[in-house]
Amino acid sequence: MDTLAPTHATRKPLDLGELRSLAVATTGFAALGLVAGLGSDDPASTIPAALLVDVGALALTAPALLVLHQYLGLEASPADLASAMGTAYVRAGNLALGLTPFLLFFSATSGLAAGLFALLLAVVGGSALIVAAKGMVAAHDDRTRLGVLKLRGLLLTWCGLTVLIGLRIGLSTLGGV
Amino acid sequence: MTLLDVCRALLRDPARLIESAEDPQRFAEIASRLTAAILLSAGILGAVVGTYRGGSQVIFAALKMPLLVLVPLIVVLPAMGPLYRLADVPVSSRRLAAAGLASAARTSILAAAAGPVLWLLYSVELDYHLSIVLLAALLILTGLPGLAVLRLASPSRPLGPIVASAALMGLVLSQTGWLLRPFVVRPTAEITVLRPVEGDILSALGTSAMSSVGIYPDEFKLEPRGALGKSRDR
Repeated sequence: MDTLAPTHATRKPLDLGELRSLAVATTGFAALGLVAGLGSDDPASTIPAALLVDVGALALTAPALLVLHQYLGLEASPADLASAMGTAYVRAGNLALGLTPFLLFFSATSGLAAGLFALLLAVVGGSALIVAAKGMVAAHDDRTRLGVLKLRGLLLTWCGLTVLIGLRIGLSTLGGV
Repeated sequence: MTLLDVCRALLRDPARLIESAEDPQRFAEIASRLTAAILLSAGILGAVVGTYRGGSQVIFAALKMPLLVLVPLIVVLPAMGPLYRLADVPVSSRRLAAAGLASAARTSILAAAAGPVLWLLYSVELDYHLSIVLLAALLILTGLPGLAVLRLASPSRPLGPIVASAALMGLVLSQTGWLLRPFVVRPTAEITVLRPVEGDILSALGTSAMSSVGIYPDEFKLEPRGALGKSRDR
């Protein structure tokens, strides 16, 4: 692969539809945090909890993924990887928004909200990782044994690191829920 | 399309009914008929369950049973679309709503159809605990054909989103049942529309499981803040 050749990803300005999708996803994460804190002394304090845990873990590990991806000489462009992560963020955010009524129901009627919130964060974060990993695999055409091995190793390492960082942030953040 | 037409299609060929609901005009018609079918049939089942205690409990249970069916649908439906999209399965919101309503309506109609059997058994002064087990068995038995309709939300019928949706619905259904209790009232107990909110379904199941093996907590009562109440207080 010619590393000086322009990447084949199409560059286009961010359109309003994409911005709207990102805004909806962010609202989903915030809403899930808000309803988890319903009934606590300071419900607003839990609004950023989902953003911090799921999005924070992705944001903190994404640069490492991009750097290692380029270092290993893998085929896809950084823009393709960023696009896969964007898709994962939007889908996970939509899922968080969809699960908000579910968590609200248990927040309002039981004492299970804290445990369910932690479980839902793991589900939403896990699904974001799977969607991102699938998108990244799809962005690679290199089917040689070494290329596939490198990509799988990189994605497994990245997923493991993201889970560990998510757990670390979660331990700090969820104490307040 | 009359209510009877929709009920017949729901029982004989639910896939065709859900497909036809993709058309916006047909959707409104079908959704309203399905909701009516749920209200009517779940109401009938509730009235039958209420006969165990009799009196005003017949009316209370008839009013609460449709809520038991509809609340889980309302709470879980918003999560179902994103679950399908996570699995890269495109699904229209109309088709999803139609499948959810059809699933609930099919369960309600089948359960109401089994109402006479339940009434017959309740009429012979059945043991209270056995009467609850019978009701649960009936709901599980009729719930399975209902859940099968949920699979029709997408033509490709992916397993992951269906299992996840069913798990969420099961959780909400259990908690709704706990909140709206009592449905079956002991013959000697006082009739009440709703009991005070205490604990949650998990703490109730934990207490019941322990007492069934002869282990009773020091104070025999539910943890008032639920299964996670103590950990939240820390």
